[in-house]
Amino acid sequence: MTRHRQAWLPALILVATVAQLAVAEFVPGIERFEGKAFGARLLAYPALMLLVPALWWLARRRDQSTSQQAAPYNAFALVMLPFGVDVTGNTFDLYDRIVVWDDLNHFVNWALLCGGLGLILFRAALPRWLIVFAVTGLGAILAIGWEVGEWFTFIRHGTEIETAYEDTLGDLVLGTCGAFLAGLLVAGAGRSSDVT
Amino acid sequence: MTRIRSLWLPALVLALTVAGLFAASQSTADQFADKAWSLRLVAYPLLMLVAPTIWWFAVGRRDRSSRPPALAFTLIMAPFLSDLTANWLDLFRSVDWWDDLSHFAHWLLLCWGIGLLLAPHVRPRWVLVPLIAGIGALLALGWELGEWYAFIRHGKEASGAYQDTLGDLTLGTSGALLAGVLTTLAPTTVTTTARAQRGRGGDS
Repeated sequence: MTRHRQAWLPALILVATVAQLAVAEFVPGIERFEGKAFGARLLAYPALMLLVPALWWLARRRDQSTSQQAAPYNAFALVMLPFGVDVTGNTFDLYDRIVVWDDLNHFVNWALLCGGLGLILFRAALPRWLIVFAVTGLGAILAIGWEVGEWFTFIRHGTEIETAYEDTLGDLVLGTCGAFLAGLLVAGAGRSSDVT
Repeated sequence: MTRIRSLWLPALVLALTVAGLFAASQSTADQFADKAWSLRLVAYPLLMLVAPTIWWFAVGRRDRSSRPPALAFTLIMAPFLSDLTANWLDLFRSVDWWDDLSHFAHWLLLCWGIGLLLAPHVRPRWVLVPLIAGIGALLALGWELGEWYAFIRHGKEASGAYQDTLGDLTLGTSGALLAGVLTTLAPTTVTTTARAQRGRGGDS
């Protein structure tokens, strides 16, 4: 049971995120949630938040040598937190009220996400100097994937294409810088088992 | 002497590239116009020598018995020669998809070479795939930022540049991903230096 005592943190983030998404989708008349595809987010966000824990459990089942290993709940929490931050930003209307909120999110959310992934994927596998490259690179891949997704979903048939170029480069740089910070922190965290 | 002799292939690639760059910088042919050949004549050889220089300071100087990773150096240098050759053959203008192919293939070669250099430091081997793909994505992003700084920020190409940039980033990262997979398939041995670094807890 003690192996699962830290599960409350990712569980809390998941529940808080899903609750806000449900309010956004099912409570009518809240203007800040309108036209932002919260129906799709209600399905996609929990699925993406649970993807890393699910893959971790599948990998652990295949590898008998790690079957008694405690789950990295703190790392799961870091991976889940950006989804919660995004929804909470919408709940408090921060994207409209704070000009830099979107930019700040690209930096901070990538730092959180890549920090969590770095702890799970790279901390035990790589020497410290390579961890920084690996986590930063993973952040760059995810940032490129995100921007390609935005192009496919919103921009390719839209009117924002004139301004999208420099916005996209800015978001890519912010996300990758966030991942770089995460890489430094993961590399600095060493290999002690209590971090995850 | 054996160490130097083993480097004949990357040395040949470097020599051909420098000779081709010098000739291009002197040429008045149309395909070389406005392509900053004097800058390339300095930048390309310097970039080609980054990996051998790092290897020398990190490994070669400390471990006199180690053989230079000539194949990895050649793969890292090949995209520069390929780019130059395509300019000589005017392929960027005569073949529509040459630029796209170059982004994919050059990142594949470059990142495969980097992968071969890093492979002895990485266990388990599957970690090489996200590591090499990530390094490719970083290099692709750096390249696109360089293009923005050098050509686009004061120009009028911004609207066309958006989809080109996303395409180039995707092609480069895909090439790097394939390089990561290929690196995991190649046999590698953990070098003395890598073993020593891992033994010290991974610090270097």
